[in-house]
Amino acid sequence: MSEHFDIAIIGAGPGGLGAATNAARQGLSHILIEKSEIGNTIYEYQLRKHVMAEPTKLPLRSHVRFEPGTREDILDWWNTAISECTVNVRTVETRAIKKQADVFHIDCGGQSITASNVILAIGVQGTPRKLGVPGDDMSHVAYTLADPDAFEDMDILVVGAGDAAIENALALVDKNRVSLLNRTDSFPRAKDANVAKVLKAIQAKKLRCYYDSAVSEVREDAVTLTTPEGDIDIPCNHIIARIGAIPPRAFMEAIGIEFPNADRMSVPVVSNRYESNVPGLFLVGALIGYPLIKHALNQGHEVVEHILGNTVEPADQVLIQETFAPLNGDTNEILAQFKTALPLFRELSESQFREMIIDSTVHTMNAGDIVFNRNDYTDTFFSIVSGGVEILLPNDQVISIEAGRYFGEMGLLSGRRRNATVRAKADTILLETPRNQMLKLIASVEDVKTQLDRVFMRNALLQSILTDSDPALLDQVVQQASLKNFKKNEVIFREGDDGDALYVIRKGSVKISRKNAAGVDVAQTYLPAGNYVGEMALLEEQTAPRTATVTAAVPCETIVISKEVFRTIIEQDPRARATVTRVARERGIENLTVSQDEYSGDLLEFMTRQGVTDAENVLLIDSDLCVGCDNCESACAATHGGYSRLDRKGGKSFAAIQLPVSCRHCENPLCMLDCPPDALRRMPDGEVIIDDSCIGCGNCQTNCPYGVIQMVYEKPARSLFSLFKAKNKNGDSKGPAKAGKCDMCRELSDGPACVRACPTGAAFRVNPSKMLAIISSKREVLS
Amino acid sequence: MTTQTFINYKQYRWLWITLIALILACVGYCFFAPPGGNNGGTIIGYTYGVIATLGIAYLMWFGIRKRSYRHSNIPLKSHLSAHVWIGIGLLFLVPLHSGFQFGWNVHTTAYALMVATILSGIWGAVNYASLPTQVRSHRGGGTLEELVEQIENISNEIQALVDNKSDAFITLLNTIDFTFKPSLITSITRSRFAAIDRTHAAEKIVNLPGEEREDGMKLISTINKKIELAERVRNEARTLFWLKIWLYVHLPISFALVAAVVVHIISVFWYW
Repeated sequence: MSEHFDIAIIGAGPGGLGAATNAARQGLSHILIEKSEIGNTIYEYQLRKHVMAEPTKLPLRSHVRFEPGTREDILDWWNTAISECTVNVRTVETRAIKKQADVFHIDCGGQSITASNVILAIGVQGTPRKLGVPGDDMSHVAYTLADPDAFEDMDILVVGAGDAAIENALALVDKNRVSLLNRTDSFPRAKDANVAKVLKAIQAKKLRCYYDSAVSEVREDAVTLTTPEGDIDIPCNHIIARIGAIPPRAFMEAIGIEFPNADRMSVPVVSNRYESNVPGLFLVGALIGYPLIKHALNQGHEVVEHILGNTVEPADQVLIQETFAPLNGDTNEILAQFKTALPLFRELSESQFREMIIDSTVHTMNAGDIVFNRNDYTDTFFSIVSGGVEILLPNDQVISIEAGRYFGEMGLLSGRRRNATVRAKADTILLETPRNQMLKLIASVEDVKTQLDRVFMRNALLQSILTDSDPALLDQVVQQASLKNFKKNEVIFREGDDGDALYVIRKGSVKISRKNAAGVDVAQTYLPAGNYVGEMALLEEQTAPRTATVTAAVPCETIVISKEVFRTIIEQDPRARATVTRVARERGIENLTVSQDEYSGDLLEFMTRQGVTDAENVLLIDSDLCVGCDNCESACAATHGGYSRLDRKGGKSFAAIQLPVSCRHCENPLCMLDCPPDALRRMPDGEVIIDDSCIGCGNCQTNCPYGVIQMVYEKPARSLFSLFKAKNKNGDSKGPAKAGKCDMCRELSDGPACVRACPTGAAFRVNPSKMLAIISSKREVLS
Repeated sequence: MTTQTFINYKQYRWLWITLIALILACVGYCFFAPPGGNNGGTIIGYTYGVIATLGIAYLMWFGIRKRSYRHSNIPLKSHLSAHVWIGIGLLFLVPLHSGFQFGWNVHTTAYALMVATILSGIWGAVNYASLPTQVRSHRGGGTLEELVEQIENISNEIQALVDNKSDAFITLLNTIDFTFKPSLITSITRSRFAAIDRTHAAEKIVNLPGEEREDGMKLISTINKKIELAERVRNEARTLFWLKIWLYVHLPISFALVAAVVVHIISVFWYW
């Protein structure tokens, strides 16, 4: 006999809590099913971690108390809400959900539960992957490490080869005997810094590593490992398995929920009632792209109202009103007008569209007003709601764009400066959408991606090869061209290969290298996004070999134009032919004259490998001048709350150029990828900064390949008086840790303090356009 | 493009300013020579005294300027350049101030301290200009700590080679291996570590039993690697030492100089 409920809520995170408390208050028959703890993600935070309550302006609707506080405060409030509202909670794992004739059957391993409606609020963290061997359910097998200090003098086995496994193992080595189990023979998934640390610890015999091995059995105080030398038993009182998590997608697809595409970031589409394509199944929170706690609490609350058939004005209505403040009229009417005016967003769900509007800004402009200037560093996306704009290209060409179209799309791809000035040509209403919001839409709405891809290709070709072509030819090329992505260090084509296509780099940068007389591949130069490569071998009808090797210096996106299409272009468009031939000839001359010495090639190679060529503004130190006084670090600390954001000694160096660990303000900032509150932004002068909305999640720190972001606590200003005061015994109760990195001293009018404070002038900052000059001047000095 | 250092900053701007000021000072000195010769009590003497005092104040202010990071559109390099050249200039201005009168008194003590401060400063400037090119760790050679760690690793390798070897092998090890405890004193005082050359190595290998000769060669090359690293550590520590040590001389005497100048000024006015 199974129990039946009106509403079953899966997952006791904020979304589930918002729903369950409301259902309980409304007296609905309900059940809240959770496999581990209430608020498990927060439960697993380190002790006393500060949790933020963003977005501040969004009103909270739920019966659950939530405001900024420590992990303990929040868990306390949430548990109180559960008991006060008398929520029916059951701690059991949901294995599967099936819908049969309007009833959901929830399989909880033995217990059978049925429900008329299901609210899925399981988040995106997933379930930790288990060892899957006999004994993996024993109590000393863990999947997280909350407090390394809780372990002392124990035999611990850490399973995994990623950053989490390495960091856990290293946190334990000082007080315990730790072994690390690696399924492969290296650490390909971990960050370089972690790999270096773990190898060092292994070499110093602080940590024992079993390569190419696996656990085959767990017992009370030992484990059996399968190693290349055969099975061995090692003593072990605790196991931490960090072998990743199973994302919830497969679970959701098994219920019948559809995803728009295979993209890792894509989220299922829900109606404005949060109902999925499976009627009666509602999705809230991170599952539908809202990672913030307050959103999830509100959505959970609202879903229950929707199920009851009540009309709910969305909690974000005030925020929509705020966006539309520059316009007069009824908010809902304007919203509808915008939706019809902008076909790009036609496939967006109601909630996606609202979210996009809230994140955007409305501009009303008069004829002649400048939207942005060429060489600005902004990276937002513009939609023309009414009126029209003119794009003034550097070659004096003017492109006119009407209402219902959009511009600024290049900013979504590469973080480079704007390549044209745009001005309004009549009274115009524009919607400016932040880059991150657009990227989220591209990942989750197939139609947006397809529409944008076309425009990208068209504009990229317009600005590189087909500068003045017949629109019909342009359209034909766009139809026939394809997009191809290359990983960092992947070869696009090799010297000597047959030339078969031309590549327009639309994102990233590439390194060009050629073999010298000794047959050694020597880096010659690099080309940023907006250039094309591979034209030389295509100019003649007959097949010709590539004259150089082209390698992606950073992850690159290219538009591929096959030889046939390319031949059509140069046959039909004499101007395109002339441009390409001229570029090819200039490059040919450069190939012959650029010195082929291995030294400068190696320096360029070093710069590319270290990502310097992807930097918008990088701090370099001329070690022929550096006296090691560390005044740069002192200056940085003095101007940034007591913490230096640069580590002079920490970075790599080549010849006389030293690359300290310090933010390079990358063209494609990986730190920005995964920032829940969108706290990382590029400023008009090019610097990438972290604003006050940082919630201290540490994603940017993990994503930065150069290790330049640290989680820092604001240091209280010290005075002489404070030295005499008794030390605060409760040292843990600091404010929240926030991400800290170089902000180019944007608050100081005179520029970065590190450079100004260098007594010998060794520290200097460069951007990519100066980079080659620096390299060649260093070459002169050193050769 | 020549690199601008604190010495040649803006085509030796501060050297030229100092030189011109000194020439003017010399002209003034000759032109205004009162009967009975110049001394600190003449108008020229007082004027140059005031200028020199202001100069010293400016030089001392460098310590504060170096630590004020927030505002200034003049880079520190410019101030250091001025600091160096004006400092050297004072060496010549002060004798003009005193009319070349020296004696065993508090006034000449102040001058002596000033000379000592400036000479230690010149020593520092020379070190700053010449030593950075020798700092290997800046050149991808790894930091000092990393080098020391590499030596420790090599010691482990040597230990592994020696395991289960004959007495002859152990003897060989004892004659060529050395313990390397990196310390500042040894880095500065020790002479160079010399690698074992080929003939020397062959002579030592011959004494080993046949089956251990290959490991013997390996031992010698490992020890040579260790010698090379030890030499680098020594060099590195020494260079970094000279880059820092002069300041420990320069700063204390400069404060002593300020004290002496205050005493000099008070005593001059006291005996007015």
